[in-house]
Amino acid sequence: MTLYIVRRLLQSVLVIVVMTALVFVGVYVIGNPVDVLVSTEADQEDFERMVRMLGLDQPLWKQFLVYLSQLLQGDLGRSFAFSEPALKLVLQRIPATLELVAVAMTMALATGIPLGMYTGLNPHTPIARLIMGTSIVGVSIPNFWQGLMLIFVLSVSFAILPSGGRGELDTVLGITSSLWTLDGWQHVFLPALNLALFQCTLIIRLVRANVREIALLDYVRFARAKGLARRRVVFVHILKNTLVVLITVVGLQLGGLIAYSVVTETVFAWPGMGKLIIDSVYILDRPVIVAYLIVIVVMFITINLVVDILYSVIDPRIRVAQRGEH
Amino acid sequence: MSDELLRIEGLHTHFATAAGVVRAVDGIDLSLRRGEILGLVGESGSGKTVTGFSILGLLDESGRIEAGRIVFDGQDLVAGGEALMRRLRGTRIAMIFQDPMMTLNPVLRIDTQMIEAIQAHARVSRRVARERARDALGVVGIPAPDERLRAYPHQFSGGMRQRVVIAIALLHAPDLIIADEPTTALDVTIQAQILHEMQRLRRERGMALIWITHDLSVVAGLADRIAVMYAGKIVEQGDVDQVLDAPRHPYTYGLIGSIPSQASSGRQLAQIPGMMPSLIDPPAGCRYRERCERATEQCLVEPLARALDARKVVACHHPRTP
Amino acid sequence: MAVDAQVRPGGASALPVRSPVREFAGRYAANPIAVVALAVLASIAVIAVTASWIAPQNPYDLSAIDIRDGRLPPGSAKLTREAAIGLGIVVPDVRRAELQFEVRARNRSDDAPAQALEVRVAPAADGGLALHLTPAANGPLDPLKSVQLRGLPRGSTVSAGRKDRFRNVWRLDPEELPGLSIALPAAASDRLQFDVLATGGAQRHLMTYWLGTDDQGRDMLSAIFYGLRISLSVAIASVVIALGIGTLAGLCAAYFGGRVDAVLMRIVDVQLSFPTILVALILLAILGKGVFNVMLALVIVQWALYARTARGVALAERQKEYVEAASCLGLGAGRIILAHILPNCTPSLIVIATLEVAHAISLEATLSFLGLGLPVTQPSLGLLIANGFDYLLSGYPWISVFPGVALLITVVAINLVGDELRDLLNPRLQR
Repeated sequence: MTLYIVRRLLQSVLVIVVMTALVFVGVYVIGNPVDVLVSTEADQEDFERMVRMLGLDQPLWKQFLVYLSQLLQGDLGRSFAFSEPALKLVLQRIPATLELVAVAMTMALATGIPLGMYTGLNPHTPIARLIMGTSIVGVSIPNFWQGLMLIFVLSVSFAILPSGGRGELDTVLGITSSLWTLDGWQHVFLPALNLALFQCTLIIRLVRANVREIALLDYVRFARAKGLARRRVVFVHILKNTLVVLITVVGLQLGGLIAYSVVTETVFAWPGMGKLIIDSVYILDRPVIVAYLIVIVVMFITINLVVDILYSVIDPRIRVAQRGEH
Repeated sequence: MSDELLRIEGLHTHFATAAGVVRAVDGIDLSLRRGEILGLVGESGSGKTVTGFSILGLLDESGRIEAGRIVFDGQDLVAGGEALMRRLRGTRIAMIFQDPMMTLNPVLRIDTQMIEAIQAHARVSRRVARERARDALGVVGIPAPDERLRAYPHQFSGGMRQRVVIAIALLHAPDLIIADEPTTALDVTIQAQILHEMQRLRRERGMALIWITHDLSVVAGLADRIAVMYAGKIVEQGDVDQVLDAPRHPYTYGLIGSIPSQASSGRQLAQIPGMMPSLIDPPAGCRYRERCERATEQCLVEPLARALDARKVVACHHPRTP
Repeated sequence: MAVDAQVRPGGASALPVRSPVREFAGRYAANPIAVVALAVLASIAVIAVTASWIAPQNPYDLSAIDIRDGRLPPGSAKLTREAAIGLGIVVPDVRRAELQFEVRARNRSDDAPAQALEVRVAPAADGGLALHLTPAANGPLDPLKSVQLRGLPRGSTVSAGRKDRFRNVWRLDPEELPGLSIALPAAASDRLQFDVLATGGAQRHLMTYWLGTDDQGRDMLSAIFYGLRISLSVAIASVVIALGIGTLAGLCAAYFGGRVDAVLMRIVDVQLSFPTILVALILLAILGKGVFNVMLALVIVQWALYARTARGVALAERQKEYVEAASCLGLGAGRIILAHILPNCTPSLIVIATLEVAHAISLEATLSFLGLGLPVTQPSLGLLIANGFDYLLSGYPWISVFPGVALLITVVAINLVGDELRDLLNPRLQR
């Protein structure tokens, strides 16, 4: 078990190194690094000063080492637009994004699991057919356009909710979040809903498929043969096995939500790291772009790692398979 | 109290599939006395497993009992519906499945799976239920039952798992156990142990047993009576010795002939030509007709089951003479 | 369950023998939703291919669009422009009993000759001036729509119409013209000079903006037709290229195994553990936008999927005897891969490629919406929606709603067709 975790950790570190190398190649080798790191308004003198400062006269491998050492010190340059350290800017935006993602994931799970259970257990009822019919639209609908339509219906036509921005912040138990205020909830609801809808349809389909598969297995039939009430068969024997599968998917989807929050944050003007990267791309604030890329890569690798380990802890079958392997 | 425990009359169980209605069980009659062991024999797809599921009401959602009566201890299970079934399942009728690897829920501990089975029918505390579960494991010969209760199914070997399943089936001392090929997935030595165990339990508790199998040699030493199924119908039933030593139906004869035995070693094994017909649109008349060497024009009419003597019933126009 | 086993033995032999294609078509036709989806998809493809012929307007021909038609709601009509005329009128001496006056056309760009509007001036009873304006019958200004008087002396009053609040302009409706008189201020000079501007004439109905117009006066329906063409071609082209590269990589990995396999599949694994949107976003953030870059990004995010699928199927096929037989015959690796293994991967790859077209369309639209995708010269559906975003909040929802509906219908249709293909081609689910 420990060996497995250590091996996964090493793998993750390797992937992070490869990814930072790729970013290095993308920014320093393919693009002209001075173009990338100096603002577009810089004059010739700034330009030459920057070339010397970056040590571009040095060989490439030396440049890479310098880049790595700066990276390890958390130095990714200063933002042109905000003249602040780029990494700090990105890190500052993380709480807003995580807040959005957390609310969205909760919404998706809270609706997706019951609906998936229902459609899986009663696949032929009209309601189940309606849910499944709607879900193919839910899977197909482009997320950004769905956001526009939510704004159009709920913010413009009915004027129930604000169309964008983050609400008032408050600090409770040392955590600063907009979820402590009513205004915050009003603001987070629409973007979270937009982010959750796609996840919700995915979860419905996944839970449904799993429930249908599991319901046919012998151990469910055996549970019925023991004379258990239907409630217990469904909520203990079927649900628990479904949840095991769901945990990995939810973990991986967490990454998907962070990725898609770029779209939602842009549509709803939500001040998270996704909006920051898009704004930075518009104004070619390249240090921020590089910082974002590295932060997101590290986040993803961490999530994947945690999911893998969590999964092997939760599912006894996998736990044993690994024990046999080592 | 009547001697008869279970009687099945004209049972038809059908499945709705995309390809059409599958007549998996197509009119069978069967009866079972208390404490009797019946071997229900047939090749895969003959409807023997579906018969077992029909008795317990465990059919898939696509399956339905279209006609017939299943009378258990005076109560009609088909008419009684799900409420009656749930009261009987686990308490008076229990079932053991083919693959012990698949029968226990992999994410629940053994104690959870046993205690829930006890508490489904008896209003007892968790502690009492746990003690009963531990005793039940002891009865089926599982060492250190206290410790094993806290284990997950994957921590048991196949034979041990099947013992756990049997222990669960025995929890409420049922009158009838339906065992669906419970030894097929196990090693031969484990098979023998389980068979021995089942016989001992039958002796001690007087419960009846329906042993579903495709393997005649397994039931030979175990069953009191044998019913042979073919394509959704029972073609022959009778006392175990009579059926095995003097088969009357050509199919039973063919089945016995295809078992390798010491007596037949060196000779070529007999095999039955052809395949079992589709149960979606089965041919009229005798269903074994097309594979049968004794078939005549008469076989285009469905043969009815008739008693050849007091203890033997055969559905054939041209039964073999013993 | 046992039922499967029960159906197979007799069922297989009982099936009538039909050609595989016809049998496939028959099974496809059994699902009405999939048939409708296929029909919709075919129509969309036809629209995309023939967009330049069937679109009511070329939305990117600046001479065809009229900015005055901007933001018209759906169902509005595009009319020919009405004729306009500007006349300068000079009256040398207002007090002379028999008034002499002069009419001259004010600018050359007028749509109608000066004769289209007949002008008469006469002294009025109170020392003012009576003005008769009559459009020539059946002339270019008949019927009159509006009349303006400009440049009258300060303090003049016109007997009808409304004076502009800020400028020295009087506006009149045609019905106010009979008996029109101008009262001049006492201090006015004898010589009077003013302008008459008139518009009118029958307007012809040119076309209907069924889905409204955008801010530039572009017909949304035509813009959507052209947008579909761009979205579909970018998506299909990238899928085809990715399919080629991915399949080749997957087959090589499966055939050569060993280190080639390990390296390729490690890359595939790492790449597939990142969401496609994120990979595409990162690439375009580095590369910048443009048609080539978008296609490159789409290819890069997709190839891994095909590689993994092709490898999986190919590995299973490689174990089979016919491949061993072929290699025993001394056939080359290339030949075995292409002629023996590839055909077996085709069904799975077709299904994935179909579904990936939908995915690619969506992804390209998203990237374009974010401003990282196609340039404004290649207005795909995503860019159309992005254009309409600003107007969504200000009461012109159709500019982004309709392109989105078109996008949604396309993606849903492809997904439905792909799902059905998967059900039919997946041997595991075949009944």
